[in-house]
Amino acid sequence: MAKKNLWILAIIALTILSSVLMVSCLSMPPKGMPGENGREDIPTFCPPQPSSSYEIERRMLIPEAGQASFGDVSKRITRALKEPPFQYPEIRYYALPYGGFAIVTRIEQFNVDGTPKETGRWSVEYAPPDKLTLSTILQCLFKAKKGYFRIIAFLITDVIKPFCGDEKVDMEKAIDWLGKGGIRLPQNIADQEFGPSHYCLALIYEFEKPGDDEPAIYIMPSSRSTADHLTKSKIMEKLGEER
Amino acid sequence: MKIAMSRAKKSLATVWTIWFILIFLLFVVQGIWGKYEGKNKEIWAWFLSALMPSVSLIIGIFAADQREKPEKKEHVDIFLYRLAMLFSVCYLFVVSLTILLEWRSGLSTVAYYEMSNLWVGPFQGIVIGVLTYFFRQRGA
Repeated sequence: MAKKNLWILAIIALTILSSVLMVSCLSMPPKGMPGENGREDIPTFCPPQPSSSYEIERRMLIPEAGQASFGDVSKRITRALKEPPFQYPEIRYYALPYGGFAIVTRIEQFNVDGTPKETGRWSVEYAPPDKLTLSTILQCLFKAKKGYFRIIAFLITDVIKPFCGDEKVDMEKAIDWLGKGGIRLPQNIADQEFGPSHYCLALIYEFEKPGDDEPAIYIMPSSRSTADHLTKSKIMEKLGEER
Repeated sequence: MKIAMSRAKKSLATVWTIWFILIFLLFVVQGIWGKYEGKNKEIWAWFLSALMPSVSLIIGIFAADQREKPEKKEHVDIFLYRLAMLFSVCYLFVVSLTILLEWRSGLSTVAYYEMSNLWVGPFQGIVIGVLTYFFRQRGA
């Protein structure tokens, strides 16, 4: 009798154990699928040495008094990027390996004066200049078809040396940054406090195609300052606007 | 209506020579400024193939005229002369426009000039045909 009870107890215990295992397995996200709020949801990005960089003033990102989170800073930058006239419809988020996050824009083609191209802005092939002045026509007539490209990134971190290595950036690899990043900032990163030691660094990765059929060259240092890049793309103006 | 053959030939030769020199100088300056860096061979090949056959034809005719001077003053139908002049000017204009608008093209320079052979090539054939027909006239 006692032996029979023992068997029944063993079967019940096994059933409970397997049920618990089954439920826990079903509730786990499948391997390789993003979870809900985990930081591991967005890939990690260690920014290489940029063509130029510029620390965005804190007052442009958050209210002078009061606390702010990474999410607030992200919203501020995202809004500035998505506002007209030069909208950046595609941006991606990355986690930084040393803490913080990065926002990366799609590669864009810009004019010699630094303004984004109106036609062929998102093309990685040469596009003729938008404004037809005598000077631009003469330049185009006598000089090679040069294409100027840039990727703008924003780092939000508290690390003093945020760059990984000083290798030259390959344009093809840089284009992939858009495809590999997350489309939203995960909640667990967004909830983190943008403390007094945190700062926002704008980075420019600049490339030049010296002629058609020629590979792009990484420009380091940039021909113009990051502040100038941000001013010409109206991002600085949008960041400076009243919230 | 007729026009003196020597005068007609001189007018045509003047138009071709001046236009050829201008385009040639444009190419030289573009080359010096590095516009065609790394692809000079292909671009000059296009330039020579677009202009040299017609220019050579005109030079050849002049050379032949110098060797065997006609005994009497020849005249040619003015319509033929105007036709030859019209085709010449139109062709030279099209070639110039092709060069001047290259920068507006999204194609690579070499691909653009290769593509331009679609309109330059047949047009050139017609122009050479008209010029040859004109120069072969031996009117009274």
